[in-house]
Amino acid sequence: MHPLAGSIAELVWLLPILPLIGFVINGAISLFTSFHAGPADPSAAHGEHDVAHAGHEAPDTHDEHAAPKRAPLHAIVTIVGPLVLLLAFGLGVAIFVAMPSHMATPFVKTFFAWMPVGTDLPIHWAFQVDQLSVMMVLFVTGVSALIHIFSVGYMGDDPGYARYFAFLNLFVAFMLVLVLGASYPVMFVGWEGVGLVSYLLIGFWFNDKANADAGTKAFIVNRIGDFGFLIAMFLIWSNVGTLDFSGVAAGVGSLPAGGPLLTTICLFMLLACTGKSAQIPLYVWLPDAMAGPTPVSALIHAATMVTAGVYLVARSSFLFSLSPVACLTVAVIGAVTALFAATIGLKQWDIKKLLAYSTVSKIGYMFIGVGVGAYVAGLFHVITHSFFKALLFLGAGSVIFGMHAAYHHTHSTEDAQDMRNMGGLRAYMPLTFVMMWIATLAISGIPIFAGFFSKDEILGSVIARAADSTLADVHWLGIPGSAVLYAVYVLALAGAFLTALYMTRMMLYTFHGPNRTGVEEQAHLHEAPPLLTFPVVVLGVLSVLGGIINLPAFLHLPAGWTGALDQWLAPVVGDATLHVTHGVAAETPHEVALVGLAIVVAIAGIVTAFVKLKPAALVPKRDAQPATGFERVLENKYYVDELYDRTVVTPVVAVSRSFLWKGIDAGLIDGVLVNGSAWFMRGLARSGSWLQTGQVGAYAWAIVIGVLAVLGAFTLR
Amino acid sequence: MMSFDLSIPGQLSLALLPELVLAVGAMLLLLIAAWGRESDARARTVGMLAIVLSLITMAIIVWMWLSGAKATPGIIAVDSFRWATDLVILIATIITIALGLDYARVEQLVSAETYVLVLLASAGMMLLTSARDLIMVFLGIELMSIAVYILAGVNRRSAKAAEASLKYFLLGAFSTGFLLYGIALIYGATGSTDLATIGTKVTGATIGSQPMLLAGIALLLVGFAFKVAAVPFHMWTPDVYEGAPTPITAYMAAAVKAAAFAALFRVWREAFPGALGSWHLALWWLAALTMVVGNIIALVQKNIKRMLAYSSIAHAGYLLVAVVANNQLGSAAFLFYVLAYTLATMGAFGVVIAVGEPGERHQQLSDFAGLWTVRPWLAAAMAVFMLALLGFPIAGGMGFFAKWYVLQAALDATHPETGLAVLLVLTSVLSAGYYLAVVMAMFMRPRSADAPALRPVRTPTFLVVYASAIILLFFGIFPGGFTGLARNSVPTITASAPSASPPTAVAGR
Amino acid sequence: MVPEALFFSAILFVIGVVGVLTRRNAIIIFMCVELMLNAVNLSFIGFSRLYGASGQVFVIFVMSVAAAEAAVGLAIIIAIFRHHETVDLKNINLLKGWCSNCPWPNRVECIRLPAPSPSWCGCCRYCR
Repeated sequence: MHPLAGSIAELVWLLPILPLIGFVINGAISLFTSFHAGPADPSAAHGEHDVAHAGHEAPDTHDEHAAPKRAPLHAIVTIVGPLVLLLAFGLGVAIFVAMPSHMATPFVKTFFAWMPVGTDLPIHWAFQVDQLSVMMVLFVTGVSALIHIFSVGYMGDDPGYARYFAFLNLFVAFMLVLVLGASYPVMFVGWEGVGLVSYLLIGFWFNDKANADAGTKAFIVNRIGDFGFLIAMFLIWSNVGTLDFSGVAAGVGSLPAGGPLLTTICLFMLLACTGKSAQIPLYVWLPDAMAGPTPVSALIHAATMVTAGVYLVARSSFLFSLSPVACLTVAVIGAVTALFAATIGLKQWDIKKLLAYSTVSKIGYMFIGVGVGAYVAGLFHVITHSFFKALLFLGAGSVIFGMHAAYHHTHSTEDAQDMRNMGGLRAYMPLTFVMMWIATLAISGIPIFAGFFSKDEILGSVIARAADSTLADVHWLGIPGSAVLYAVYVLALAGAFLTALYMTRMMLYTFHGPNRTGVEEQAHLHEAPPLLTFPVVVLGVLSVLGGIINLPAFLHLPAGWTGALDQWLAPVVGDATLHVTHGVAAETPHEVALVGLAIVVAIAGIVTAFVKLKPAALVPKRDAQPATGFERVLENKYYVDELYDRTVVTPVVAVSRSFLWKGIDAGLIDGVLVNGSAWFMRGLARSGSWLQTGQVGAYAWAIVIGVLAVLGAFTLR
Repeated sequence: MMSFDLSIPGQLSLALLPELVLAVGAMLLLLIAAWGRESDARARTVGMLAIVLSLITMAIIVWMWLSGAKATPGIIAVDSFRWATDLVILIATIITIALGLDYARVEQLVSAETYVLVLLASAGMMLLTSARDLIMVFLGIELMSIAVYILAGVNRRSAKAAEASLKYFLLGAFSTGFLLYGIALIYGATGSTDLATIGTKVTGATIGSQPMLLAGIALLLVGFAFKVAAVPFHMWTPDVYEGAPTPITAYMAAAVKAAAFAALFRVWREAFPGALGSWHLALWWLAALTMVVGNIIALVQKNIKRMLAYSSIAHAGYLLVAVVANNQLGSAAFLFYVLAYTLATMGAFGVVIAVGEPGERHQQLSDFAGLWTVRPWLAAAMAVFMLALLGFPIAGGMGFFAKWYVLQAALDATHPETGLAVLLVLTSVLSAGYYLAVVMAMFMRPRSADAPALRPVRTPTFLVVYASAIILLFFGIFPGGFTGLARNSVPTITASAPSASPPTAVAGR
Repeated sequence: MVPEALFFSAILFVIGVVGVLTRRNAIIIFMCVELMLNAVNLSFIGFSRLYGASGQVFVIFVMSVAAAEAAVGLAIIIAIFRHHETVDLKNINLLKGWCSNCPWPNRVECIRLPAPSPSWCGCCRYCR
């Protein structure tokens, strides 16, 4: 009898159902209103102004020019959308409270046989309640609830308000299926579902082709990753014989540890993670995904969905910890991505794109964490990052909201997201300014703030593993594992410096210095309404205090204060971690010195930004000169999109068009195989139809011939 | 827990309670129908009462099923396989009567006896699914067939219906002769008509020296092959299906076939597993030919009813694959398949009724062109039915899993039927040629200028079509519950059969 | 005694089958089917010498079923006669999926003609 049996955890099915109810209600309202108000036409509702703002979001704030035309059922959407999330969060908290302090085995609740495939593969629709999934549920529902509240203010005047909340609710439902699923197939449903909703929300303003294209790009890039997920699932099933997490964890021991099979499974899974979590080489979709509404960027493309890859690695820790080579690959990809994305972030002018590259870079750190077998550290960073990155996006959303409102009043066609058009906003948006600085200090790794503790734990683990672990003992592409890990540490440290640099740059250009918005517009710049600032403040508090859940041991705090998350997650990932560390608790050498180094690097980044950058010298976008030299390379994101275009997209299109389409498809397949065989079959069918004479006598003959044939077949045994 | 001792007449009647309720109720309805002048209102009342009677029978079956009724071995079976098939048959019965109510209005037919005959035929089918004795099989088949012969010609104004009725009757009676001769020879060879007793006497060792037994099994197979319309005993099917009134065609395509297959499964699993070496070749070829011929000839059909007739032949071929597999998975696959197929086929015929005009005109493929633009939901439902018959995942609902389970049964047989499995997949690809043609016509072609305005869809057809589509989709996304039910229903009919295939080893281990 | 009964039963059955195959008149075909059923009855009677009375019981069953079948069958044949004024099966083939009189090369189905001409080829009753 499991300790959770009969407790409130039995209601775990309700968790995804609650947002699903929201989806159904809001979706119905969306359909209803679109039927009765004619086809939704955002461009008409937004007026000429937003057409000029092609490629950027445009929440309509026409409050002074005309009374906003609200959909009839607006109030219901406003209540239902966030309410279901608050209820789900409450249920999550209740389950959390009901859990005993040390629960050795997960509570698996099986609801029904979903796809019984023979007797070999009974796939059940089952949810797994354990420390990891409850942790994910809490932060997913919590952050989602805040962002839903923010959205009420941010999207209130959008004609697709109900549709927006329907999608957002659906996203949370799928995300909860992803984190609660007790087997890979159930998880895959959530995995695909969040990808679908992500696609729908990136292209939310689909009247603009660029937005729709961005959605398509995200969808296609993610399909490459999903291919990896599927192959990994097939390999697991054919070699372990089950797809339940507990079953695989128990059965994986029979496979040769560190062997090519396990490495292959893990690498295919890693491919899936690089797609969903936007890592090299599949990160290209995430910056474009900023075409969606800003709260969506905060929720899906910063806080929750993109961390699904980290969750998958942590969930599969029993696989990864047995394959040091795959682990090192995860860490190296994370480290390279962290530095690479950070350098691109240095020269971005669009505030949301900058944050997008920052997200890519930060997920790189999480990959380093789970890659070196420090699963708790990686997940710790997932949580703290979700706090401060959601804060940054919502803050940026407030800024864009204000900028847009200002430009809207003057009917200007300036870019509301370009930092060159901002500057000095501190005076107009003091609260947002303070909150954004908190997030910047958190992401840079300044002590006390949440990001410091999580980033530091990851960096410390890298050094610890380099000193002594199974990872250090193997060779990765011929390089000793310890050398690889030291290189990872150096890359991560360099990335930390750049993080502090570009984040400070963003703050300087946005909030400090003189205002460049325009003389006329300045009168209309003001702080965002309370509905927008409330979630921002809550996230600000969490960004300051979030580190409390896993304070490091070197602080020598009283027992119970340090390593709470470590102890909480130990039943899930503890064995895997011990496997990586030769079965002993890892000791980080020279820990205090390393922490000091990290702090120095972060402060150096901030100071460099203050010394080197001159916000006063910046000119608005319309007057800016094109960049030159390496700056231009950075501004163009290393031309990776162009590289993919030239090396993958263009050749594929060309080969498809000239050879596959015209030659193979139209010529061989359509011409010979399809049409040819179709003609052949039709010919056969016609002769068959001719036998159908309508004469009873002929049919009786057919029966008698059949009888003789059957009798003959019986004698031929 | 009910347990019946079948040697006591009273208890035997109790075990046959659903059949008796249905048959007696049908007689009473016949009295109502015959009382006084024939009128449209009276016919409709009888139709409604027939639906109620079917629902009562369903309730009795569910009650007996849930109370775990059991019986001593005897001439009828009291097991879950019987209950499951009976429920499918009764669902088909209700759908037929519902469609018939609409059809009668469109064609201005007044015939209350139609509904009574449908009930009587269903009683025969239920007897057939419960039969554990060859004489009971014969009685069930005849009770069912005689009623259906009349039903095919129930539209007395139509020359085509009369011709369909005559063809079905003559050829059906002809095939009954073979079936009965088969039963006689088996009786002569084994001294019994009880399936279990035959099963103990038919063993592989001595079978080669018993030509009378072999001929008996062969002729019995012919009788079943005619009822399920296996090639080359299928020639009557397209003609009869085209000529019969559309609801009756749906009934023949779904219920008659389901009942005949249920009896075939039971007889083959209980009486003849020992003769596998003898019948395997013949059944293999029947299955292969039925799949190939049914699908190929369907390709060029332009009349939807005729196309669906060939499609039903093809589906008989798929189900014969499950018979050839001769294992528990095959019987479970049959139960799942037959529900999916019943809903999809009857739903499709429902759409044909909704689109057609009086006098059974406008049943050509070209009449479905542009249906999407005038009746979008009807077109969407038809697309679901076509995709289900094709075996398309998700959008085709249960159809995909139905074929999947048959394939699994074929590959899981003691001697894996890889050849048939490959043929099943290939012919399914071929079937896309005519199923998707309907979908393409509905969604991608413009409505022709001289197409008549569609009548509003009446309530019974409305309910049948959309309920079928929704059930298909629901169990297509969550097949688990129903599969579990089907699986649990099966072991009971195989009590006397040698255990099926051993569980296959996990690949790559 | 039993082998003789079986032999003549088989002969009778084959006569019935051959009758069905060669005759065109619906009533005669039906009578030949009855012949086949009675041949089977003869077999059952023969087997009843080996296995007891149950064979004779089966004969009663078969005869009652055959009687029901005869009633229904004759009614159907009367219905056909009303439509065609003949029971010769040669003339009863409206249903075959294609039109034997159709001048068009596509014998599979009566076809719809291009717009100016009448919408159906109209070459037979089936085409209308």
